Amino acid sequence: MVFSSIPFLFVFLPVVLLAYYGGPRRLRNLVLALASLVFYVWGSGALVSLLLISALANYFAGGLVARARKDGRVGLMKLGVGVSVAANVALLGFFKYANFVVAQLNALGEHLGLGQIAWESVTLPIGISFYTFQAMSYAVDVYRGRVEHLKNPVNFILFVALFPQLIVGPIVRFHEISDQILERETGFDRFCSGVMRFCHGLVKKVVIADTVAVLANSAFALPADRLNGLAAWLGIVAFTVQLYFDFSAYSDMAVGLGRMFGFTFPENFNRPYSAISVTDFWRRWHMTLGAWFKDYLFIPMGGSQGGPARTYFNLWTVFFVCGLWHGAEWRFLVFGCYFGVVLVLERALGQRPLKAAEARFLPLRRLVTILLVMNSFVLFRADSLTHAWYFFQSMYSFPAVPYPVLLAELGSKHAFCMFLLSCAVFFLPQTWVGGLSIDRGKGLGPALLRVAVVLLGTFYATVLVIGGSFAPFLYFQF
Amino acid sequence: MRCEQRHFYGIYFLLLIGTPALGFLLGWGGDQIENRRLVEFPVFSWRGLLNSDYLQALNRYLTDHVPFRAEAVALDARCDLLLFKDSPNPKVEIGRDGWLFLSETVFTPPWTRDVRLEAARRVLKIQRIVEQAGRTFVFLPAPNKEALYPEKLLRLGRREEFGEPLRREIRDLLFGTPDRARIDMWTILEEAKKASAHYLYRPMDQHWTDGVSLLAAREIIETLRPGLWEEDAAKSAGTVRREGALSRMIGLPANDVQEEFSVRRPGVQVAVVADKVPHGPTVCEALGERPVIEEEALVFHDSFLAQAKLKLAPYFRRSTFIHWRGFETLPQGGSEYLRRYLALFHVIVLQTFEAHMFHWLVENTPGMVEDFVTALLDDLGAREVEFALVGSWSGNDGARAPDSRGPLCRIPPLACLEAAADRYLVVDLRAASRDDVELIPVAAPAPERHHRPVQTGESRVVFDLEGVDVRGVLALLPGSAEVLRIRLVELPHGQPRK
Repeated sequence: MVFSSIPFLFVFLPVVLLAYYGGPRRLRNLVLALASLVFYVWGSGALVSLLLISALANYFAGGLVARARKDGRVGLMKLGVGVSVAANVALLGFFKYANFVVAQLNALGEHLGLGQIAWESVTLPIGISFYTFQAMSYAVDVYRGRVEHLKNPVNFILFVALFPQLIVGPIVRFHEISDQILERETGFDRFCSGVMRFCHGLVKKVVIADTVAVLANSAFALPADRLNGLAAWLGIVAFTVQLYFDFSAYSDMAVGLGRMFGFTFPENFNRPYSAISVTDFWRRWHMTLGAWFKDYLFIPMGGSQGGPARTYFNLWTVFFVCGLWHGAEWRFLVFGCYFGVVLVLERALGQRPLKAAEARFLPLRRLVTILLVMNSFVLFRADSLTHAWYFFQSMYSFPAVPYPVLLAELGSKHAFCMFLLSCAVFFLPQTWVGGLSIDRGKGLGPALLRVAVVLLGTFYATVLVIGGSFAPFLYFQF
Repeated sequence: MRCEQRHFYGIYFLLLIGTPALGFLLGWGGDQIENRRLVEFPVFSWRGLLNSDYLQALNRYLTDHVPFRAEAVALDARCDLLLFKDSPNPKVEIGRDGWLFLSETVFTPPWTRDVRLEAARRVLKIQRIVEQAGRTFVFLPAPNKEALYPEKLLRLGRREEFGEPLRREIRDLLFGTPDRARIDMWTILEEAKKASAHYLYRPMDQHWTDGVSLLAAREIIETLRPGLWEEDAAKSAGTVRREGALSRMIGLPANDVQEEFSVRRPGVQVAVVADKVPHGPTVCEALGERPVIEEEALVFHDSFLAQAKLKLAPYFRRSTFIHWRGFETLPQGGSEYLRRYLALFHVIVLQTFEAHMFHWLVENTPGMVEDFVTALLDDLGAREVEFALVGSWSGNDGARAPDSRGPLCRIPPLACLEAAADRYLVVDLRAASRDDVELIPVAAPAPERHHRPVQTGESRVVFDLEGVDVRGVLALLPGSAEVLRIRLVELPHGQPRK
């Protein structure tokens, strides 16, 4: 169930808000935990059992680590955290990568004339990459002494399954939220603040991302004999815009929903397309994933403490794993390796400014950064490496294709208008953050923005959500 | 920002999500605004809950029954039209003066050239087969709306670049020579447009008007039996308002006003002896003493000629109408229906929408030509018509297939095989099944080069040699079947046999 769907907006959310605020305060965590499980069941059915098993296993591992810490048994602590991490990695590995590994082995087997592995495809549980990472953070944080073990398993299930950030993040590390799980501030003012953030996300998703997606989808669906350079560039710029508005919208909605229920989730985006280096980009893009990798992979590997070669290796490994985390396909592996190489080069060449004051030629830096990012997004969006390859060819060689696509075929005027409007994200100043301005900004500008986004935009988004259910049959009449 | 302002926005949001939620409780939803049935409330089952089928069905139900749906769809459509001058539905192209078109026909994808020409070639092939088997064949395409009314388009799409040249190519292929397919509705309607001030197509719909369906019926009858059509039999049934399907597709339903007609021949009563709703077959019989076309007619049609069924029926002693959409849902399946019954019909009418020629004739009925061949060859065989026998071989010769799948029956290289169109290899067997017998060029025995038979029966399989690479030595791989005789036959040319 996505946040911008009719069942969520007009059934699930009103019912959960009623149950949460209408029931006794002491039962709020239970209500929210149950609602989160229903939310998961709604999309994945019986696979909720996997989430519950994962949550309980991590809970008991955390308990074991906490007890060992209390008794001063370091070996047992290490064993507990080791088992927890290994089990989570194994779980993620099996459900996310087993199909891919078997497919590669079978392809190799066929090439070498060997037998095939009989294999029934494994269904990928929704959100497994997110909830596994969150659950894994628990035992590690307890091991590091950052947090206390939760006494009530319901609270832990709430942490793992909390529906606002269950499917697409932000990835919340346990120590960031442990206090709020036990005690959090609620109230109508805070609720309304969450509403405004949610509305901001809803408008970004429904009004902009979904509309611009039409252009990107059309361009990426073109066969090689119709894809010219113009369409390829239009397609990748549109996808770059779509991806940001889609993903950051989900994060906005998650942060907003969290606030409606009294939580404060970490921010996930900070104007990534105004980054002045790729290193800067990754500090602004999917920030919670970056923080997770830094905290639980880069630093445990030694971080940047072991000399340049070791640092480069650690950095590259982190991005290789990051690529793997995005999906079990070769293109995601290449995506991860690509960023690993670019980041290592930036570090090696000393070209990784993080603040505008540290850098010269800012417009040029921003342009180069966004171009490097866009190239990676071709891998992200293409259906396969072959598809990505001919897309790259069209982007950089401007081939004279026999049947070049017309711009009018790629999308409606509405889509082009939204696309041009949304391209403002490339040019707005680094410091301007829409979500925060809407909530806290003072003066006429933010007030107008609130009217435009929350009042008109949300109404229009609601119309689009409901109107999007209109699905007449084309061929019925023939 | 002041608290009051924030609270105002919070209350506003609660109203925005709460009103439809309340509407669900009060049963406000369920507006029937599409040309389809809305999803019904799913029946609960634990299994459905566990595999998430139940909740997916519930999602679809809630999506279909959300309150204020009609209002939201209309508002969304009006926003697109007013703010962006866009079509609210990309499948519909907005034209001048409020005319609506199907986008897929205006923006003809150029890569369909070959496949669309293939559909036209199939029409010609079917015509040749039918006529060689002594039947009468009529093909009647329903032109795309923009082919007649390009001046109503706001954007031309690729019309000048690809659409029109391709249409010209198809028209030349179908009607370029006198003995080619009949009836050229493009030319007929172009002339009708010049001669009449009335629209031939409905502005809010993709279809032609009822007046044009009457014209199409007239052309069919006059083509089959000149002079039979009675102008006086067509009566105006008055002016009728009909909702345009394209206007419904953009969420702003609107009506077309058109004059409708009925055909009543004095002294002729039409009895509908079978009518399977919605797509047939519909079987009609004309009773009475007035002259009619006595041969039994089979009409394949789509929604364009569907309006003309009862306009045609009074002119046929017995007519069977099958909608393309109903083809595969025929009791025996479309293919089996053709094989069993096609030979019974002596007049065969094929009508398709120009844009869907490929869709109906190639994509949805891929084996249709073969089914025609099979049915008519069987019929010719049953009536002991002499095939033009090109060659004959007998028995398995003991050779084995390259992949050791069974005994092989070799056919010597034949120069005469090079012109393989209209030639069929008829193999008589003791027992056969479609999987048993394949035709393979020995020079290239890769599996993908094997040719499957167009017909299989208890004792005979037939291969259509068109498209078969016959330059090498052909071999027949009979699998477990025992080959009695192989004949290379050619359908008789010349005068259609009555």
